[in-house]
Amino acid sequence: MRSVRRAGWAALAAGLWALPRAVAAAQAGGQEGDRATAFRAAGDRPPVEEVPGGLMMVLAYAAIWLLVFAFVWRMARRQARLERAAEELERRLQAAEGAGNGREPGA
Amino acid sequence: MRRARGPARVAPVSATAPEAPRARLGRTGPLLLAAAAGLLAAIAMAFLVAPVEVRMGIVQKIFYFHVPAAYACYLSFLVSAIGGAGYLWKRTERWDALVVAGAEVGLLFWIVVLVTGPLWARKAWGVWWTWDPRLTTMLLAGLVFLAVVMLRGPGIGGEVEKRFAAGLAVFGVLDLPLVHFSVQRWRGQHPTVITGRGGGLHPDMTKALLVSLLAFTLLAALLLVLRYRLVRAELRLERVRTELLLRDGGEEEDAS
Repeated sequence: MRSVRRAGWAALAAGLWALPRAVAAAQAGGQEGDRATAFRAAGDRPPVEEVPGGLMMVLAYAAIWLLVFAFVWRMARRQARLERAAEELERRLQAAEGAGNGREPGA
Repeated sequence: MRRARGPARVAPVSATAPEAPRARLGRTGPLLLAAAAGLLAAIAMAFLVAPVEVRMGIVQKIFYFHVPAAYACYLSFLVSAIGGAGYLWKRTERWDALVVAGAEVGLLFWIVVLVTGPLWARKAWGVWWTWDPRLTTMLLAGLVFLAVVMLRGPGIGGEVEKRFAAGLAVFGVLDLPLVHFSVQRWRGQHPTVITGRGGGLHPDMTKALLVSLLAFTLLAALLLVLRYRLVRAELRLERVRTELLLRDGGEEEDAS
């Protein structure tokens, strides 16, 4: 019984090892462009879509800078909030220490 | 018998309030300057040294920021996962802060990748988005770390949230090898110019890419350090606030 169980685990392990390789092998091969990506009428010029590459590039670079600066700005705001909270805590601690001094025995 | 783990170990609270975290730019100054210089050099290399690609034209220049941003995203998520593993093991504030800092900085670069990629794809493929293996796995990775950030913010979060976020960060990093190798393993539209067999890049393009990779590494390191410090300060402040509340509550009971 134990040997059957061990054989089962070994078969499962072998299957888990072989399965992704089989899937990858099935999908491997073929060159780029084997699949048709457009349907063109014979004799007609294919329609050309004018997507401005320069504009896309400028937008991409602008987006990068905006995102990075937005992140830095958000951190700066959190830092400012932290400073205000720390100052408030200092005041409360000083108040608590002052009240504590007033209650000292023999004072 | 194993002792059940308690809440995260924290350092004893001092009697004074934490020093207000003024911008300690002095320590990160060199890193800031290096990152700024690196980014300027990367822009110069991308536009003045690297040639225009023959098929895609000028839009291919997005490559010099898109790829390094993806790499910086991997790096930051990895830092978060290391923090997660460390927190699950040690349960200290340092590791917890690393989880949050790594996840947030990683998300920043993830958004950069997901914004610049479709802008490039619109020109190169004619579509904004496609369920290509790399794009899909990248989206999935970001969503996992978005969950980490949401678990840990906007408040500090309790012990359960911290542990769950740490575990999620470790789980999320497992997706990164899938993102990287997905294009090679499964057929997809995403270009594979950088592979283990060497890059399919013009030498000048390679130089520009390497400079940009270095610049983004420095930028990621800078943002990680700054965010980590901020998280540590926030955690410490919360600890002091809690201690003060307990102390005030105890004093009121004594007074009554």
